Amino acid sequence: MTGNRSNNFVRKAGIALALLIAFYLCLFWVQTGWDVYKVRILNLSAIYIGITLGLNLCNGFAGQFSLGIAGFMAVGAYTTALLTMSPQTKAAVFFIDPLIWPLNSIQWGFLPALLMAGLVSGLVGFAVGAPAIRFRDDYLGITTLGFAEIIRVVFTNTRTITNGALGLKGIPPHTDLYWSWTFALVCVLLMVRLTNSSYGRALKAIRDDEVAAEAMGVNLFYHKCLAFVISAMMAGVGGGLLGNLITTIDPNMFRFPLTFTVLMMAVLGGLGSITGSVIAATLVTVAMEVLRVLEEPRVILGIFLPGIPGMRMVVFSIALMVVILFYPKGFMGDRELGLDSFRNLAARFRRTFLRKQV
Amino acid sequence: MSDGRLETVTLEILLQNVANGITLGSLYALLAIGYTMVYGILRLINFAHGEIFMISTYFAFYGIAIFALPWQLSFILAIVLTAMLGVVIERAAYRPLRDAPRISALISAIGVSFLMANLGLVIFGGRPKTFYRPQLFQIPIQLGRIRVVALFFIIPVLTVILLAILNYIIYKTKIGLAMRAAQWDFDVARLMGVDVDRAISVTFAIGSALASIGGIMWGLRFVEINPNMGLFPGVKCFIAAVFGGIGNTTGAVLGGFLLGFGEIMLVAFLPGLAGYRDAFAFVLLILMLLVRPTGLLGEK
Amino acid sequence: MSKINDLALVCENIRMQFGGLAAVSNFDLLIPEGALYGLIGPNGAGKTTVFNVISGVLNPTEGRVRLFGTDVTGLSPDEIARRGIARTFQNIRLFRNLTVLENVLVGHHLRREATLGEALLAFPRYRREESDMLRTSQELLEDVGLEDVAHYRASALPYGQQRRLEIARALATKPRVLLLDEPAAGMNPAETEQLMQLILDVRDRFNLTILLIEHEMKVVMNICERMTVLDHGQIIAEGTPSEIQSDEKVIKAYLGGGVIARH
Repeated sequence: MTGNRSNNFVRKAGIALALLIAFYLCLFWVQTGWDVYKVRILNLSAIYIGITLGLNLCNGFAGQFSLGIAGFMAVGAYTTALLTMSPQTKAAVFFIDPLIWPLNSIQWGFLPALLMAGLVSGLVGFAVGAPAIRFRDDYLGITTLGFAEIIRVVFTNTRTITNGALGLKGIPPHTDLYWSWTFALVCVLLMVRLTNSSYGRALKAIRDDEVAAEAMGVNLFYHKCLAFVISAMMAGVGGGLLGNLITTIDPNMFRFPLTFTVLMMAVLGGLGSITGSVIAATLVTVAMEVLRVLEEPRVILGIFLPGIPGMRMVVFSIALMVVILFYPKGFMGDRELGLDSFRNLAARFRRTFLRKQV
Repeated sequence: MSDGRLETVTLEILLQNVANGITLGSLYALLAIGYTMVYGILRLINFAHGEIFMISTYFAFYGIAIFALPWQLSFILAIVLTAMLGVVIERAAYRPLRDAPRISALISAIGVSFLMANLGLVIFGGRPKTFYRPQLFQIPIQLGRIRVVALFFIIPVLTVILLAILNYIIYKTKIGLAMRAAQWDFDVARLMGVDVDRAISVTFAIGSALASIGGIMWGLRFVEINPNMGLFPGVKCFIAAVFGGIGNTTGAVLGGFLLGFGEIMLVAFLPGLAGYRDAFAFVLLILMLLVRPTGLLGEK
Repeated sequence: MSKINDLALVCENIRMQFGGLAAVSNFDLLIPEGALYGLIGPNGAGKTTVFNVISGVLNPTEGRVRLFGTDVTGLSPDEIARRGIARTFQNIRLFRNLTVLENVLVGHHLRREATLGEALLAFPRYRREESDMLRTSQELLEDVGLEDVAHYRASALPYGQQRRLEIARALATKPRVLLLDEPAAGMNPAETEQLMQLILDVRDRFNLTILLIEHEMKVVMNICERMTVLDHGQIIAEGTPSEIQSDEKVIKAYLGGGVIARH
């Protein structure tokens, strides 16, 4: 019996390792072979997968309706940027109000900077969440929205730390496919482990019926904070990766439309489905780029079509409305594409095409 | 400069700011009422309310600019159209989700809000437009040491009149009774013979009409209108409604006035913090939620 | 004094005031360990309010609640569950989107010793606890007869089974005292019969003390050893089933003796 179990484990570990190596080989191939435009879309997709999973954890699995994710992304983006920019660049960028010490002279590696971003966002997440999670859905939404706005306004006004409305330029472009997709992978693994664990069940219980959960011994404050803080950390690291991808950030990037975009990804995919978030984040990111077509002037078949700015978001808003009114559970609902689905698919394939008895 | 003249300058500035504060406060109050009425009856934050406010200004604008209607007619038409828009939004986006989990309705509200703001961007264009300024509102009036245009009187007076009319409707008419019953409990109201759907529609119509009056006044006061103008006033006015006690119309007006006044005073007397003006509302909200979550006048 | 501490559950002079209304007043309760105790009374008498005070949902305006001698008044519901009081709800409160098995597993969460980190990294202690919890939960489902529907969504269950699931979930918290709020509501006679047997079994097998709110007289009269009768928030009678049956005040409160006498 024990022999079988350890054999099983070795077999599973072997498969996992093989898949991982294949995965990174793919990334290598794409990174070196594909054009910059496509690589950028892939980077963005991965980053948004992680951030959407963060939102899904808080809003979907734990049922806490938070609208503050743009604020945590901002915290993470600024933290990473300020830590990874070189002192010379900082001196040049902060030309009106110099950056305070010690930030103006330090320069960290990417990994420690990202970890710091996660830590700082987590702390801010706790500061925001701890007082706010006692509220009902709509009040929580407005409160978290408020905090995100306050963060943005503070960033716009503390010129000696964030350079205010001018933003930061010249952020080193550390983000590449390895970083972003490792982030996405880690987020997926984290979510899978968390939501299938006893803690994950406790979160879902809180979502379904808070009063009953508490009566069964689930400490509401601890578990809600847990979801909130982890969600903020994921958004913070994602924000950091985003900053080092697009190399310029300013407070105006992190306003409600950004929260709306992430919310839309989570809702379209299904609040409560990890697979849904992964699929929706990728599709929406790609669609965002593809639909740029609508916003820029183009010549199609000899006819000049002027661009319509804002058309993309109209399309997405309509998509969100359609989903929430007719398919409120989103694309995947709360189902997952797990090993079972693949096994079933494989079994059916064998039955139909190979006429084997299964 | 002698002491006497220095004081005069300060007093003038103070009075001017007071006038600004009262004006802004009235506009916020008009908008806040819509939020509180909808929340009272549906327990839903109508995120789209700010966009309704924005669209009404464009209705009025295009009435004059394209259809060359006299401004009085254009304004009235805008109010009517906006009220109808509010009812349509309720029917299409909120009613189907009445039995769904709360989060679905909230997401729908956010979706509508976003959709309308971006539709506005697409249809009206991003460049701000200049609102028409009828002569009537520009008549200068001398008030002691300061000079204001008639508008500064008309706005608060109009707000008070509207509030009186609203109170009359809510407390002295049958439909008002229906609205109050529906606020309390749908099933009980239905058993008493109240047409709950109609009460809800009327709530939205009234709230939207008030928002549109606020919008038109806003256009007259601040002249520039753009498709994104609804976002900030929208959120701030919801906060004002919460501050005054959600569900309570008088509270909403009080909250609106306090918020508008507070904002102006903040900028006037602490110019260093002027950049934080928009965050002022949120700070108020958080303080209030921590100290007295039921708002100033409590939940109705 | 030492006798009081042997008692499983004690309520001393509980008063629950909501503004001007006293939902419950002068409420006393003494339940010895292992007892099956009833709390009855007409609708609106304050029975669920008493439950809410005991289980920590409400903080009483006055009075104390003691569990095996320890004062647990005003503790939060999750803390009270940890101390050993579990409950079911009058309007069933299951975790609708979780499976039957998952509902019971949630009940085990509070007894967990492995930390979040251990859970995320699948450390041995966490894995061991998980398999223990899984086994215990499946046994509980067998005890209540729900082992066949373990993987069904909780909302898919018929009413009677949902009530039994709530009991299994409460048992998963390893309580010493179990509060059942109208467990027989909406059940047909056959189901009620099964439920009564279940309650007695559960009390014996898990060494529980049970306090039961019930409207269904058959249940109360047949399985409760003693009961307290509430009316308008006050106790109007206390004693064994036969004593209560013949108590005039109780008969009057229930609008005519027929309800109690006939069963």
